[in-house]
Parts: sequence; C-alpha cells; structure tokens
Amino acid sequence: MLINKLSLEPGEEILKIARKHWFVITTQLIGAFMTAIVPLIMLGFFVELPKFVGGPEINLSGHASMITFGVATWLLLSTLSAFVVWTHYYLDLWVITDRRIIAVEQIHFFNRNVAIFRLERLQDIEFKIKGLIPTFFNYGTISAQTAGHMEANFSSPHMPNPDELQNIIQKAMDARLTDLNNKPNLSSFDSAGE
Amino acid sequence: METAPNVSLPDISILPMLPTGDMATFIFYIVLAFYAIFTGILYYHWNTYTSDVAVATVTYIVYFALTIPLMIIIASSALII
Repeated sequence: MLINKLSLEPGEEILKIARKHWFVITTQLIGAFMTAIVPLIMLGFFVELPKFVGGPEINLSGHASMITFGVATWLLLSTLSAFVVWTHYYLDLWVITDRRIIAVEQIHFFNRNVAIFRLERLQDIEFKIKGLIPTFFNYGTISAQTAGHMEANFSSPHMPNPDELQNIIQKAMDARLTDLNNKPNLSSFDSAGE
Repeated sequence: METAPNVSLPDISILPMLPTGDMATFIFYIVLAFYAIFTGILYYHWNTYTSDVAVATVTYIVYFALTIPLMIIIASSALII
C-alpha cells in the first residue's frame, strides 16, 4: 500500500490527501464512453440509412455472431481504457503531512514520479485558476518554489480548491518553522532517508 | 411501387487462406492474452500504490464484473463464427 511505502517519520501526521478535480476524470470517462458507443451508432446508422435514402436493405442476420464479436471486443477495449483513466486519476495524488509534501504523479502505468518536499524548504506557494470551467468548478494549478536551487520547483494542474490547499500548506509551513525554531536541536535532516 | 432488394454481406474474411472462424479464434486468443497482461498490470498498480484498500477492492469488483461477461461474450461468439 502507498502509505506503507511512503514510510512516514515517527509522529508525522497526514493533513490532507488531494487528487485532481473530479471534472477532469469525468470528461475523460465521458470520452471513453463516447468511444465505446461509436460501433453501436455506426451499426444503427448502417442498417437504418437505406430506409431513408431508398437504397437496398442490408441484411445482417447472417453475421450476428461476427457483429457481436466485434462490438464486444470494442466494448472490452473501451472498458480497459476507462480503467486506465481511473487508475491514473486515483494513483496521482498529493499527500500533505505536517512535515512534507509528497507529490505522486502517475503519468502512465510505467511512468511514475514521486517527489518529496520538506515544508521548511518551501519558499513560496501559489495557485492559478485560469479559464471559465476551472473558475466555475474551482480548480487550478498549484505550484511551489523550494529554497535549494538544486531542488526542482513543482506544480500540479487541475487541483481542486487550490486556495484551501494553499492555506493548509501555508499553515503547516508556519507550524513546522515555529517547531524548528522552538527546538533548535531538531534539524530538518533528522528524519530517516535524508 | 417497387421495393428495394435485400443485400447480404459477402464473406468478410480478410485473409483468403484463413477462414473467418479461424480468424475470429485467432483474434480472441490475442484479446485474451492482452486482457490477461492488462489485468496483471492493473492489479499490480492497485495492490502496490493504492492509498485505500476499500477503493482498490471496489475497483477489482467493478473491473471483473464488467470485463468477464464481455470476455465470455467474445469467446462464445468466436466459437459460433
């Protein structure tokens, strides 16, 4: 399981798990559904068209099993593509803890990027909501800059309620910095794996 | 009024040396292999990277509930062809 693999530090608390906005996956699943029904529409069109244009009627009764085979195969492939969409949506997430941000990007089945950013190294976090639909559904791109120039800045599009996410991260950053100032012996590199 | 004649489709085997039934069986085996590999990959990802076991379980149930009947339909129609 992912949470076991992330190996949280002792006492580390998960504040929020965020995934991309539901509108994104809905549009992709509608696309998969529309693709699935294409052969059924084509078949209906193919059979019904001669009635309207007066051409010869097409008799497909002898090919019922062939048509069933083709349509079922197409539906299976469309279903599998819908599960690819769902898998990428669900496994692509941000885990915000009281010490780190863990950004998991599931690009393809065999292309997975996991980035971990410590809150005390974050300098600036901003979000951008651009366009009519993102404004209406309140989702946008959230991005952050880290202090070290060796570390990459990161951003993630289509995040829901980016203002709320920004507030959570900002409060966690402030709390973490206060904690580190109050306990000078608590280094930012005290955790396992760093 | 004169009615339009019925038109039946000809044998639509793509390869002349391979009968339609054999071709359908061949395609079915390819689909079956693809399905088996895809299922393995999907299971691996959900088993390894999910953050919620309940969601993974529901995903497995929905996946097999949708795809197994389709595989049965594909297999039975390939046998009939």
